[in-house]
Amino acid sequence: MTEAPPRWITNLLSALCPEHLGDEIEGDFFEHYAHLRKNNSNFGANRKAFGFVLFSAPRLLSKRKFYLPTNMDMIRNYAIVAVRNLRRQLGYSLINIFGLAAGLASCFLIALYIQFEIGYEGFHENKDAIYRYIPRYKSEDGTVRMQTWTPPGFAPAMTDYFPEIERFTRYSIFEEEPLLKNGDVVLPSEYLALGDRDFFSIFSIRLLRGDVQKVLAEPFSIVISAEVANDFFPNEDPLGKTINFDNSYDLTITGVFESIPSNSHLRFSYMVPFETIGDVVESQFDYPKDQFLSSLDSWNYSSYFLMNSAVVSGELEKRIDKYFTELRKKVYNPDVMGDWLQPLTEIHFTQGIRGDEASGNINNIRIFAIIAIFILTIACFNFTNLATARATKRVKEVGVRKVMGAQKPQLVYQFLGETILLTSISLVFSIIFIELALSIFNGVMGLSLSSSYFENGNIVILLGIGLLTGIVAGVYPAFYLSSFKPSTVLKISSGHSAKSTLRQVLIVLQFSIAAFLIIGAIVVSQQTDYMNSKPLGFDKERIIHFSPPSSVIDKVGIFKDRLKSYATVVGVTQSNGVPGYTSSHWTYEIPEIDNRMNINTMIVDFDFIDTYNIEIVQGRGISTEFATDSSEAYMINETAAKMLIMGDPVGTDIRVVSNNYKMGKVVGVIKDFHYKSLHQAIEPLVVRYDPRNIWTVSVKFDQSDLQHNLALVEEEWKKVAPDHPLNFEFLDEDLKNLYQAEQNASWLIGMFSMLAIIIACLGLFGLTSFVTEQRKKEIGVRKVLGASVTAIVALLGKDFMKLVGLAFVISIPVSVWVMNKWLTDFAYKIDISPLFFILAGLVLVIIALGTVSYQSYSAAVNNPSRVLRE
Amino acid sequence: MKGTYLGEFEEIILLTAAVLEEAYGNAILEEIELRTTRKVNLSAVHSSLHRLEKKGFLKSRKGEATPVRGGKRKKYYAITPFGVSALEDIKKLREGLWSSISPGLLKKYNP
Repeated sequence: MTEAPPRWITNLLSALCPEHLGDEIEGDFFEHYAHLRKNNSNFGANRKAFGFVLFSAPRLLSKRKFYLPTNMDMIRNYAIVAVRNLRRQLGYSLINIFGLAAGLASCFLIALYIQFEIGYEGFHENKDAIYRYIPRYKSEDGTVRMQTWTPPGFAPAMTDYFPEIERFTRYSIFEEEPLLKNGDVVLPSEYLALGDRDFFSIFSIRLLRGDVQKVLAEPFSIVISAEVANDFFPNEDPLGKTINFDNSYDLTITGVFESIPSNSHLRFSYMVPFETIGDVVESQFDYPKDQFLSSLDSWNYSSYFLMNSAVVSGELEKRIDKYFTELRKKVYNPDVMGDWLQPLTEIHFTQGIRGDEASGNINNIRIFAIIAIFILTIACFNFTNLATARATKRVKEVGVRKVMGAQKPQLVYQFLGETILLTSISLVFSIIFIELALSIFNGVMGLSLSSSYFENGNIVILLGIGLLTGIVAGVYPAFYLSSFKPSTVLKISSGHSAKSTLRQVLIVLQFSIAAFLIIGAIVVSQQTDYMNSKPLGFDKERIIHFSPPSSVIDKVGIFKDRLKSYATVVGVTQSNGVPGYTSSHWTYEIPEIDNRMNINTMIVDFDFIDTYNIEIVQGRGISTEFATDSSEAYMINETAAKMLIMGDPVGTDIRVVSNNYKMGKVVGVIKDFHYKSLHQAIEPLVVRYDPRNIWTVSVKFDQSDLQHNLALVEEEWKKVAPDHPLNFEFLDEDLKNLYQAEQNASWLIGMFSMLAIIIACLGLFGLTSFVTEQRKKEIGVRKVLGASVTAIVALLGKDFMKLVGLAFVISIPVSVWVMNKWLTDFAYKIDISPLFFILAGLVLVIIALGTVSYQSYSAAVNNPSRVLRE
Repeated sequence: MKGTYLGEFEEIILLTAAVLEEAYGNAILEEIELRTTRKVNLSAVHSSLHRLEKKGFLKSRKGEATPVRGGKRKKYYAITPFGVSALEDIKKLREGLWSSISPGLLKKYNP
């Protein structure tokens, strides 16, 4: 018996050996090895054999022939076959192209949106070294309270004391919009901000005019936005011009800043030096300016720090907290939860900070990302399913190609290439979809995204998603199709069985996703409806409100009296804000419980309770009938009565912690009403009278003609304040805006779940029509033997409907779990009811049934004689 | 004549292929080693055989597979008429040269 060479050497040799020389060389090598063994030891023979293989390697390799698919003729052939197949089965191709294009377009839109959201504050060069100081504590019930407000004296004191802090700026928007005038022209006074002199060197908001260090250095200067400069100082240099503030001061324009990117929490059109607020306070309240600016009492302003180094340790937070607490002459307790230095980049996604405007919702972003992936997945599955189901049409080609010498990898490349060609066509269509949908998307979401494909690597994102989709969708069919054995497929004429477990699994997955999205859409829209329709404890219909500038606030009394004389005006009232948007809170002292605390506060006039129709459950409302009510009467809500006061709340002593306020009493308890959005549970509230802080005027009408009533208000307003246009808003619309995020999510999920089910049904449609086509002979025979149309439709449909039913059942627990998680964000929420599932199930089954039976019905009513004769 | 040039080793391979009835790589190698007592590399034999076949001096056919060869088929080479005539050309050339050498010289070194 001759010795065979060791396996590893023969393997090495056959790996090196060109295929056409394999038999000769490998065979001779076997014999040669036997010869070597005769004359050598085992080891010696192996060594020589290995040396032989090694030294032959370069020449062997150089003789190898490479069959790369780079051959032009083959590529042309592949292209022709691909296009022919697309055209011959145009229906299927369109289903695939439409599905993939819709999936790609939604993915890209959502990618744009996510890019925008996570890019918040990304444009600041110092973004990693900027921190906002957030006073924070844990209340007795365990909830963490955070606020943006710090006192005016805080930031300068800390910057002086801590070497880690390089610069600071305070920031705030004037809530009561002052009157801004350029000569006689009134400027829109929304978004007038206060900032310190380092504001523009901390934040990267570019100055078009003016010097970064100097624009806010002088008192009574103002920096304006490029838009304001264009609108009100066209064709002239705004620098040095003056803007009049509340008919009291002239502010000199020292700079113009470029518009702030929309993904920033900073939003202002004008900025004045922070000291200005000191002047306003001094003139309006006779409070010394310097004392106010260094005060540690008036918690109304955000503080931002630029740190020396980007990394801020918790230890620095603790030291600042300690020093700040001790400055306020309080005892610092290191064990309780302390204040927080919030990194600038976290501002957008941190929720629940009081004083922050609507911020980003990381959950929504996650939801949208998942939806995008879902839709693309459904489209990919469609492709996979249709491609494998229609394998019959291609097996002959595969067989012939293999007989002609095609290798498996070549076929895989061919089919993958076809998928990528299809995806490329889809990409072109998806760009059309994107262009059509983007403006709608922007409109509904209140965004200004642009599809500029050549910026921010957008084209890379789009092509990347496309390529990935092509590969994901095509890889299984490519391997499936190229694995057919030519001997089987060429012999059998009837073609391949269309049963496939994978296909069934994919259908179940697709419809689970669709069902999940439908249930999600129902829950989200129900929750939004619930929030918009829940009784809030006050009237919101037929109420308009507006905030007159402080210069004319003293004339509001006359205006009110005049309006009250009309029969169609139910009530006119002034308050520090409208219910739903209350954010004010003051520090109160209640001697009975010996504690000072911050309580949400509505400051109102005597008509407030009646105008808003708020119910009094105990005691009485504040009223002009009691002379002392203007300074000593307080109302609290039920929650405050329950949480803060032990005994009978009426008659309890209470006062605002400030020298200007006398000790007063609780005169009445009002029924809880939602003075904040329904995201938050009702907290204790104090309602009190104070003529100095009531900037907002609300007018309530009766049922009569609204246009007439509005004209009436305009007319009366013109009489008292002729140069101030009346900018009023409807309360019910404003309240709806509170739930804009939910409204957006609801719309988006609704749209996408519709898209998901359309794409899934297209796939189902393709599959049923294919299966029906395959079984048409069987259907003919069944009809001849007396089967009814219904029986045939049921026969064809039941397989698919079983899968859809299974998918629906699977989606229920998943959606219950996910939607319950989503609902935890809301203090007031709906219960997930079985009705939602019944509704979703009905929708799903009806649509799927329609899709399936359309095909099977048309097959069932066919004349069997025609089918059978073929 | 460039394309039909035969090197010394190629000539020996071609001759051996003509001598052996069933000429394949290993058999040729063994025959040469036997006759010349010089060490021959198998891969050198293979590449010569391929070259000769490409030039048209040899033709080949696939043989049977044997377990000795690990189930691989042999490739038998046989000389073509063109190969024969090339060998004859060389032989004639050499004979001509031999006959032109003066007999005295040969005697002197090969008594």
